[in-house]
Amino acid sequence: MKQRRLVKRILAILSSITIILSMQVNASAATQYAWGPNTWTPYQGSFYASTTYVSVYNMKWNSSQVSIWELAQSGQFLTWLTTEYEIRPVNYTTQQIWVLGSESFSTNLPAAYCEFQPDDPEDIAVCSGWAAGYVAETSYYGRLYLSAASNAPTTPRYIFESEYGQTVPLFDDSLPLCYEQYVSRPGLTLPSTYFGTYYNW
Amino acid sequence: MKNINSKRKTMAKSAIMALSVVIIAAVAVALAVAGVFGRVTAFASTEETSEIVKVFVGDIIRAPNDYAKDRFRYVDNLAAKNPSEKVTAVLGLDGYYTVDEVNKIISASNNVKVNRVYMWPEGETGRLSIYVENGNIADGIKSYMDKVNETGLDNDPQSIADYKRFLNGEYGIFALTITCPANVLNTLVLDNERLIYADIKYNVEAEQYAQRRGKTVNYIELPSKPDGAY
Repeated sequence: MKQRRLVKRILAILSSITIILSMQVNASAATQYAWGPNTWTPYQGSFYASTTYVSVYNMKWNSSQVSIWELAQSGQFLTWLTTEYEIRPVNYTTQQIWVLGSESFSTNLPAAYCEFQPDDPEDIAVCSGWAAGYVAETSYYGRLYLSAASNAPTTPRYIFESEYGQTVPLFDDSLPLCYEQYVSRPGLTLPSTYFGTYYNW
Repeated sequence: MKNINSKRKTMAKSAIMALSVVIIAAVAVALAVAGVFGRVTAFASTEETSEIVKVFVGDIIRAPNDYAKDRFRYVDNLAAKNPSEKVTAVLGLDGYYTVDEVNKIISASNNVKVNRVYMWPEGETGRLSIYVENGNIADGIKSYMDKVNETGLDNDPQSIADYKRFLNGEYGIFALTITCPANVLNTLVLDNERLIYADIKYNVEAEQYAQRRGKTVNYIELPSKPDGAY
């Protein structure tokens, strides 16, 4: 009788482990959403890209979005919620377009950093490492001043992506939790954003 | 006798319950920690993987308590073992300084090349990161201003307002990135109380972690500010 109870108990423990594990595995995968309005993306903003300059600006969050960041961060003790605004060139690597490592950037995003790395050829990004620091209705921007690579294409297509995730101190290799890609017209399947043109949402 | 048996049964039951709770809690905590540290990714059989390990350099304010001390120790050890090894490090200052003041701080040691400076008005959120091509900070700032003049500021009122404050001299340097031999960095750190951290752009644990998983390490500079502002 005792042994049967013990077996039951062990089975209960194992099923609990399975549930917790499945929750963790789900949390480690990136999920793509249709472009806005999603909580992690400002309700308005503009962006522009060229071979010498990339900017994201006039970005604003409303008070309910900001309170969600604060609430979400308050439940995290070991990680920080981050947001990233990425430029992902289509058919080109970042090294074919820009001289990597020579950028200057200016931004009023909280705990801001820039991803502009030779070993990450897919995108460049301006990021905030402290999304809970956003203030409602403040106008945020991030601008990168760049050098064009020799023979850089002048008007390639690119994808503009807004994403959020969580990072841990020192080092991290997790995927973003959620991301969305800007579409200039609903229904388009190919990215329709080009260098040298301003876009708003 | 019956009472004793019943007591024993109750005790055994309680022990099993307690043990179960402890095991579940331990597993939950272990998995939660593993999850937030991104290490559970390996369990996922998904189509998406992250090939990059991001290392945040200079992010002292959010790192564990002893991190700054450990990094100073790392500089010290490296200087003893390989004094001439060239290293790149993010240095944090204890305040917001002018270009001349920063030049004085680093001119105490020869053979130091400045790669980048971080500036912003004291106590406010945001940062300006300026690439310094030839090691001369003033030239780097001039080059940045030329680029702003060429491209404009998208007629964005917030950017224009911030740039005006930059031109008015309201920005100070709170961190910088330099390249120099390890012993020079060590001397710089030992001789200068204005440097509150020196974080070399190399993390042994991250490199080993990445190597085990066939990933690439990207060092991302995120220097903390002396006043704790973001």
